Amino acid sequence: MDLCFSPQEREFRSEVIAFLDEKLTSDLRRQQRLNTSFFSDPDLGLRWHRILFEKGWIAPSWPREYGGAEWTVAQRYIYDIESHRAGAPYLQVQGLRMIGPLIMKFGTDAQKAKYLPKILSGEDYWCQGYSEPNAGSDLSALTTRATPDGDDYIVSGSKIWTTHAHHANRMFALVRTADTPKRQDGISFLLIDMQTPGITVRPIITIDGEHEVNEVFFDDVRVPQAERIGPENGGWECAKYLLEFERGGGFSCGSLRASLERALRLAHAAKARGGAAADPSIFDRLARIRIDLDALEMLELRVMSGLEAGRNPGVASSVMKIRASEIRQSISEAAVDSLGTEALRWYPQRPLKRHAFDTPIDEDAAAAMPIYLSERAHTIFAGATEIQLSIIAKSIFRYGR
Amino acid sequence: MDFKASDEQLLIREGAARLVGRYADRADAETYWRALWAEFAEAGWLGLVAPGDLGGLAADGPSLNVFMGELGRAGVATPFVECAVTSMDLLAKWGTTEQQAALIPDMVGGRRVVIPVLGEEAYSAEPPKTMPRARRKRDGWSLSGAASLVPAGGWADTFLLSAAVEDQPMFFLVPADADGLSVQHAAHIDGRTAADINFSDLRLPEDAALGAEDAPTLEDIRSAAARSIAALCADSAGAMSFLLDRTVQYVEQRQQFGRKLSANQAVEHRIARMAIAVDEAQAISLLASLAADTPGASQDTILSSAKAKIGEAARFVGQSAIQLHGGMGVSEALPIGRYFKRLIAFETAFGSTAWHVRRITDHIGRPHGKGNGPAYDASPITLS
Repeated sequence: MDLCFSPQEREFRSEVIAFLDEKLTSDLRRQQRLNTSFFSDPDLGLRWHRILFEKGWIAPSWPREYGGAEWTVAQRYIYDIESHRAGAPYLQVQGLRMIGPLIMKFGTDAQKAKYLPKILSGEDYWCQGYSEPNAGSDLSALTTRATPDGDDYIVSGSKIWTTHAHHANRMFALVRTADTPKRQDGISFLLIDMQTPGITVRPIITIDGEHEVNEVFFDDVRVPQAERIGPENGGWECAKYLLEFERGGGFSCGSLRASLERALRLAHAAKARGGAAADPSIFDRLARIRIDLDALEMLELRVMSGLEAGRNPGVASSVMKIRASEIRQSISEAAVDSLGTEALRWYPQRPLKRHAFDTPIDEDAAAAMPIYLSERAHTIFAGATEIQLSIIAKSIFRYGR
Repeated sequence: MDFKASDEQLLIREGAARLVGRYADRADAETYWRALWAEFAEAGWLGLVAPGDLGGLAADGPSLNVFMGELGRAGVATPFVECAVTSMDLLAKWGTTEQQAALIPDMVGGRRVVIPVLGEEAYSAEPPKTMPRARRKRDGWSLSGAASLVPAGGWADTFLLSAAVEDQPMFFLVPADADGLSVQHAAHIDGRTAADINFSDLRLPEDAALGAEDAPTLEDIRSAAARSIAALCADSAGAMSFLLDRTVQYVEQRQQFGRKLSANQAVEHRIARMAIAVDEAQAISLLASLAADTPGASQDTILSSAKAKIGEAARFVGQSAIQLHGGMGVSEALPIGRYFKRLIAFETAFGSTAWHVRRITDHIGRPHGKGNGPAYDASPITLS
């Protein structure tokens, strides 16, 4: 066991830094500073996606046979830390980290050939059709129905909180294909072309001022049965696998370090200005966050090393999801607090980059409140904290630790 | 970077668990510790971190981590960290060849227990108003001062006593039965016998001093204690995992309102929070043990991070274990309280949680920004 980088890893780190220096233009960095959401708008996220695709770095953890970089855990960690430190845009995760790995695990050869290359190239933009108006935390209560009709299904119902449905050309969705005593046994996993007639997308504006999530309505939408992943009524297995990776499939420490660095910058600026917002206790709070982050980072490294050895993240994904989301929220909360009343100034245009600011620190300041508001969702999506706590406890009661 | 446990580490875990497992659940440390100590010596554990050329195994941080984790889980009370880690490291760093040859083989063989008496000055926001002082005499040294509640001090054959010469800390080897040294045994909540020691014009020969040539600074002392802190972190993480396991068993078996306690969501969620705290503690204790092997800029902050994180996690897990055991949690009939007290003791050793948090606060509260690193230090844990 050791934490030091080998000469090869050090060399890789230099290569990453040089690449970021060259490709991460000041415009991309500015846009990311003013990106108030964990989900970049395609204008930003896809631009960066294509640059990484050209370099062959778009899918660090994917196996080479599917076009991934197949990096070691150390390489992925180095890339995660360095890219966020340099201010690289967030990437859209629904394709790369969610449906991609699922297709690799459960998809047919035809499905792999059809979808994986377009996830890598960015040609396909995916959204996730899981939650419904009456199936949020209680996901298996979903009622969007897929009725067999010849070689197709006819899909009717609605999804909600669908991130970037208004940008996506593809959706992966959980649908009901049977009414079984155990609700999980009647669910199937479908890939849906968003251009199919009968699909309506309606925006939901969130408290941070963004249009990011949507309601999606399905009115007799025809989906070929060949677009089902896994067996009919076998969708829950897929859903759980995907959620494990959504919650714990990648590093979060790189972006958290970058956010903490940003919050520190704001706190130091407040200290330099003096006044009501310049309370020294802010550094105590940030110190405790840094301590929490050290523990999380080590936890992530251990779990990712286990994944490399071929295991699922399992219940550790719930532990990491809870801690990463809580730490993320504590950082944006501290950032807002270090701005005092200036945090209350509201810039209404979205994306925020439409406003002009004088300096990077002004940009950080303008983004702080929308980020704080946007991040309220982090302890809710992908299974709320309360759900994760129950998952952890039930796993301990069933299997021990 | 590599996170796989080596075969050696797996063997250590297995061997240690087997040995200390036979002493688990015993609250009478005063009666059993010498027997366990002899078994440690027999198995070679007392030389786990001692230098190879002096009969030790020169094990690395992660190996010490797995060993300590088992000691913590079994809750055994021994002077292991004090003698086999702290004193060993101080001797290895500042002892003369003669001092090392005279002491280390006996320490490794279990024939001599050397207990450090570290001043608080290395871990205090305010230096203590009084600290032991040493004066150079024509034929040696004269020491005056006192130290209260020296952990495991009641089990010492020799003290490794820190005293200031002018304002410079130095270490002195003092036999526990030295003339002019008063050693009063004192009960300690960690289950071991501590000691209040007093000395006035205690005369020591010239060669009782360590590092006379190369006197340590407070920073040196802290860095020599790095491995001890990491060891205590692992011990506490082990104790916490025991408390979690016992609490899980209890809430699964105890019935109230016609159902298991574990069927209540409030209980379920508290258990999950305990499990998260234990996972975090184990992860960061491993980090501390890796950092202890790697002197450098990030060693200090990582050790403070670990000490503070585990200090807080230990309180939470200990208090939750008692809470979820209800009345049984406050009863001496169960080992819960014994483990809890051990964890409370951890919090004050080598700097309190507050002191370590403050060290991080000071670190991030000043601009950095050298080279292409971050302007303010939110840097990753990697040791490079």
